Amino acid sequence: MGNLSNYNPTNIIQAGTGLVYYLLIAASAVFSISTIYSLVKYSKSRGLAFVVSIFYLIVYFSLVTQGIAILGSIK
Amino acid sequence: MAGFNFSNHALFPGQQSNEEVYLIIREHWFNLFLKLLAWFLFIIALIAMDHYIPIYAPIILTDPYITYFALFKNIYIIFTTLGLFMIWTLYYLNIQIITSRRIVDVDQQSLFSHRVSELDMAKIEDVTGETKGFFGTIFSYGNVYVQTAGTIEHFVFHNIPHPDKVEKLILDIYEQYHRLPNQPLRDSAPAPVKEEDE
Repeated sequence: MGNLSNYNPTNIIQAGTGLVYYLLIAASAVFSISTIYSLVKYSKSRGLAFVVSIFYLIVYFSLVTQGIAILGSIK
Repeated sequence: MAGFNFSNHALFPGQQSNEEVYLIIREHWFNLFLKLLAWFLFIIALIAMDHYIPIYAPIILTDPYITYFALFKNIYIIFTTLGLFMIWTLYYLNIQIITSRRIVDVDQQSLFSHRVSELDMAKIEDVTGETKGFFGTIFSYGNVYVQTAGTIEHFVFHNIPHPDKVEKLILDIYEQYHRLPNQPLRDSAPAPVKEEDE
């Protein structure tokens, strides 16, 4: 698990990289939330929809956490 | 929170309590497999990147480029995972339901496009099952066309398993639907089916 508070850009390249990264994460979050909403709302098996959504969210947040940790290690 | 009512979860809007559901079908698994195959190309690209970059561009694996490369891979994996989730969700949400009263087509074309179309059994004029193509013949999937009277939109069930059986089922229910109440039911009346396996 990465340290989420250690991303402190010190130059324009780091700041730009961070901005692009967070914009892409925001875009993926919008699509993820829309997909989960559609799945939970329209699925005929709510249990399955919840299980799949939770599994996806675990994977998604693990990847985002890893990405933020990588972002923090940029020198 | 009407959309998240667990106790009275209808398969489609307007479903009646005495309405018997005969079949719930979605696209044949082979179509999902083809989409997953296309998705898998992105995974192969990721594996190829890991394999060939140390050989052809080793400078990327040195400081400070390695962290940017790791970040790129992270974003790539996030979007690839999202792609897999969306492929499965769209496959899962696209269903056709055949009941004792109507045919319902639940069409999730994209994340922001959800359409539910209904066709009353009384309005059916003609049903055609079609199997074509090499894989369609091998795996027994195809289209079912349900024609209706006049200018009313006709139904097409794309790439569903066993289109011949579905066509027969619709025609059987159609006959049953138009039977007079005092007439006995045929021996070949379709038994209710919950969900197609394939």
